[in-house]
Amino acid sequence: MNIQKTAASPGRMLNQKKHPLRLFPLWIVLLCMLPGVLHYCIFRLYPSMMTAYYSFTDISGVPGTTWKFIGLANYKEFFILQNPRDLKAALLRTAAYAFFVTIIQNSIALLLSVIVNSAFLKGRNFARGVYFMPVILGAAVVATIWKAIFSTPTGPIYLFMQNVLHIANPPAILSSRVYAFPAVIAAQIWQNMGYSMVIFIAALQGIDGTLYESASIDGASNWKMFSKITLPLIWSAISINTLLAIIGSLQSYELIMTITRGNFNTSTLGMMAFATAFGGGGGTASGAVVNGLRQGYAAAESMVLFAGVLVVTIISQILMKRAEVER
Amino acid sequence: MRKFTKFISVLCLLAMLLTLAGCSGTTGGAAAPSGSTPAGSTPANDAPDGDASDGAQDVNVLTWSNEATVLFLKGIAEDFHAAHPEYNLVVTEVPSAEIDSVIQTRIIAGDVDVVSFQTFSRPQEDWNADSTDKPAWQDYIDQGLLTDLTDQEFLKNYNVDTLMGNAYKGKLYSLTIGTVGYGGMFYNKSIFKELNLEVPNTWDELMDICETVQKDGRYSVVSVGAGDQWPLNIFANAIISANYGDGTKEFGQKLLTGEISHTDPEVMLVYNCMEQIAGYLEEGVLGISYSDAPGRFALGNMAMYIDGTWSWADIDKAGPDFEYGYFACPPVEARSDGLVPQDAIKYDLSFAVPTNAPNSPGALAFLDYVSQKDVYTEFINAIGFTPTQNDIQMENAFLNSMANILQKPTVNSEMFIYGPKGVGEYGANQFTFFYLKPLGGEFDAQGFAQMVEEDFDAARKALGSMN
Amino acid sequence: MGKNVSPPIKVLCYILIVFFLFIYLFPLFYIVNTSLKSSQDYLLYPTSLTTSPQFSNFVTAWKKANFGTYVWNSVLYTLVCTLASLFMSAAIAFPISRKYVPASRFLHFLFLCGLFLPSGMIPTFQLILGSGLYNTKIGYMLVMTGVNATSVFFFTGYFRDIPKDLDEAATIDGCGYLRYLVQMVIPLSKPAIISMGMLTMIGVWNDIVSSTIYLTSESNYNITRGMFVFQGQYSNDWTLTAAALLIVAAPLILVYLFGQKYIIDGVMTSAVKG
Repeated sequence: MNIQKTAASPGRMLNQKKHPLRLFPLWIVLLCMLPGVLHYCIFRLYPSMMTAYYSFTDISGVPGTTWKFIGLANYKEFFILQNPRDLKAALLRTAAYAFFVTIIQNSIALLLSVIVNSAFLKGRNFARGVYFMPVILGAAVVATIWKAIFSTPTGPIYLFMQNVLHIANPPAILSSRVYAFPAVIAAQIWQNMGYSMVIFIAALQGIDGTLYESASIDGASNWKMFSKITLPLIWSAISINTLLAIIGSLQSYELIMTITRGNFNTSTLGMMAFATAFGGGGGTASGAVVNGLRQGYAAAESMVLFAGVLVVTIISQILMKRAEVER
Repeated sequence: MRKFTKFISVLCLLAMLLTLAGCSGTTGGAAAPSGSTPAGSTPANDAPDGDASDGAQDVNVLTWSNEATVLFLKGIAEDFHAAHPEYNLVVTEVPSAEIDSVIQTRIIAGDVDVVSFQTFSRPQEDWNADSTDKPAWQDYIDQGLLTDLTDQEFLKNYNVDTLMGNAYKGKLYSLTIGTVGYGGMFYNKSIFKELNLEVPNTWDELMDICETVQKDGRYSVVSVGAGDQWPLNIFANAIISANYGDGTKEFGQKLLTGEISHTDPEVMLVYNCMEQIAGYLEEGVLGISYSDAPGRFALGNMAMYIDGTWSWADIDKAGPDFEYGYFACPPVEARSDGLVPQDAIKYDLSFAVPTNAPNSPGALAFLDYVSQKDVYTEFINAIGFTPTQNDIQMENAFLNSMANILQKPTVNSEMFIYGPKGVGEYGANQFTFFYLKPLGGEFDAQGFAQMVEEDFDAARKALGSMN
Repeated sequence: MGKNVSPPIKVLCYILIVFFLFIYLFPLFYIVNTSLKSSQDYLLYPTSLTTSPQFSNFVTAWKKANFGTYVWNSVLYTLVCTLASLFMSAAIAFPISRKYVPASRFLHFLFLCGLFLPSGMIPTFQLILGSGLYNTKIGYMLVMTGVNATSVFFFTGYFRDIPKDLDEAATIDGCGYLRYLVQMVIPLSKPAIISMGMLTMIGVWNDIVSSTIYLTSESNYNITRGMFVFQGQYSNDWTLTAAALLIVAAPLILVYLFGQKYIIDGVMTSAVKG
């Protein structure tokens, strides 16, 4: 997994000493680190810890309002008061979002990176550049592109359904309780596939070409070379990509927020927490709007999500390890 | 070389001080309305005013995107400044979909002087304190965040009875500039004439009209901007308002407490009406976006069009010679008082003043200014709502023609229709068209009513176990 | 894949590549085409190729969406946050890579934690609200700036490759630490700085979540949020929306065209490190 250049440097040799020379006065070194460390502690570590604390309070985003410790009430509300059918659906939706994004995004990325990396293909840099483009465009731009493509009744998808597929009353995809969710998943994959692909390409480029040559002299088929040489050698990249996609898609709500605002049964746990804390559709499992910027409740939703991410990450890592050993 | 380090350190310190001064200036300026703005710092949102030097203070008005409102408000900024040289009017517009959350965040951040609301609907009262969530507006008032306007001088210009319909505990926290009706639909006068149709007084008559137009086959029967969903859903409210009128509040209470079930005949009546009208909607209606819909109606090939009365301006713009009228949704049984079906109104554009407004004298001066009869007349004509002041001359013939459906208007039913805390998806959308089969949903009227009732039941039980 | 691939597979590969190129290029192409149509033309023939390009759409969109203000905000946010983030990360990474500070290992671990901890969106909001920085440029920039763990690791790796002799030479010359850091170390790790700089810039420019949460006055909006709001207001004027979208995306695309190598390099490395 060492894709980065690890060229040994002359500096390394000098670094072996146990107590490095204090070349610069410590106070100035520390002073320079201070803004970064302070910022990190204040805006990263502290908020991260406080989320757990706030989840046991009824704090609201409305300043000046008093708040108090309310024990497990937020969690109770989440797990007991919410309609069980909707709660199950929302949790399943979150899982489905992560599952489909991970599987589809990585499959396409792997397929395309193997092709793009193969010697015969012309214009591979162009292809790679194009596939990667949406990554840099960002959620707002991608969402707006998506809305334009799926708009009714002038968007190309609507026209396609109407004129080519001859559907009499085509649904407005992005405001349909059935089709909006798959469309958002597709947007997520469309945006991030290039990211996974770049990681795969890096891993593929790290494979020693002579391995293939000797294998092809031995008469190995393309499939055999792929499964016996390529796959094992890029397994760590697959593992990283899986992890990134799972964590990324479980937590990400930018596209949901920008495309549907959490409406039309597209809200996942991450979006629910966001909408509860800052307003918007889909703050609860039923899709209802939550009033009053209930950030304590949102913090509880975040904690449920965090627990989920933790469990899924651990399980997926164990599975990936096991699959690696079995090879 | 040490000097260089020192130099950089001093530079950093200076930069930090400057930024600190800058931000404290902003917040300080907001917190102290009477003081002059500290030197070297300008409040964050006075970009457009060039009069900062004359010491005038901003009056920040927050409203949602409505072209007519925003244009008018921006247009009177100069006159307002002329009348009150000590103030500058600054208008901020927010997309309608975001207005609630933006109000929520800004009202209490205390950096806005006038905020816009619509109807103060679904209050939490004694009888439903445990079973419903408190709406945001009520939270603001209970926390003392909105100024009580009840005794303001400018109220005498208004029809106070109308305004008080939007009061809370007998006090007025917002000044309603105009009301709109959305308890009915537009109709195409020439098609109605051609097919010998009369404006309906009962639901059956409406269905007969639909049937006649459909049989004739040349025109589509009813259309609506269903692509945006809400334009169709408001018609469910229209049906409830038409049939329950002033009893809607009681109806909503009984639904919430479980005294009546959604599958009872009196509620099924609403679902059945919804299902019936859904059957006459134009083909491809799900793809018609709301912004295109008035223009399509003005093309003249649909008999009826469901929308709020405010859309007359868009219809006029799209078809200057197009002849149309508006009727309120007819009840199943004709009104006993002999009136034609009456419209259900909503309090639109209402201005409220946060108690922590940085410039509340300015905010009140602004309300006073727009309440002057001449300014008000211009305002109400520009936005095309029904006036809340008496004896206002409306230029628009359509608005004047609505007098007969506004003799005994009811407040739109959405004000009283609650869902219990934690209610499931169907219950939360208890009168939403899109769960019905003709509109891509999976239920018929009966099935949908059943799902809604199940959700209500589940929520009541869960609430019981929580308390 | 080996060099001797059979022709049918080659054809299949090309078909796949072209198919996905279509999926990726068509939306972009559609947006460009739409942005050049007159609204009349768009309503009548939304998918036809535009015949008489309406460049005025861009001017109209720029004015109507009030981009004149937002673009400067975005430039300010992007520059300040990127420079601050880079400096803070470098100032932390360098001593760690050299073990110039006690507990380097602990610091390393501390920053590693950042990769796994849950996001603290809500407490951050409370913090900004409580300190009166809500809806201010400063508050927003404080949130958007960040010592990103990946850039700390990325830099640490690069700084190790700078010979330590240089440090010694600098001290002998009497060159101060800050000056050494800014004038020697950072320029020497240009590829790393550019990679991380570009990724940070793109992230700040594209931000929509934080700007939605923290910025409520139009005078503070960044251009992305401005575009988003504009799209909400003119939700069916797709010609103008497309033009506004391209205005927002243009700098990104330019940066991408010229810095593709650095960006992709940065992504590869940060992903591997993470």
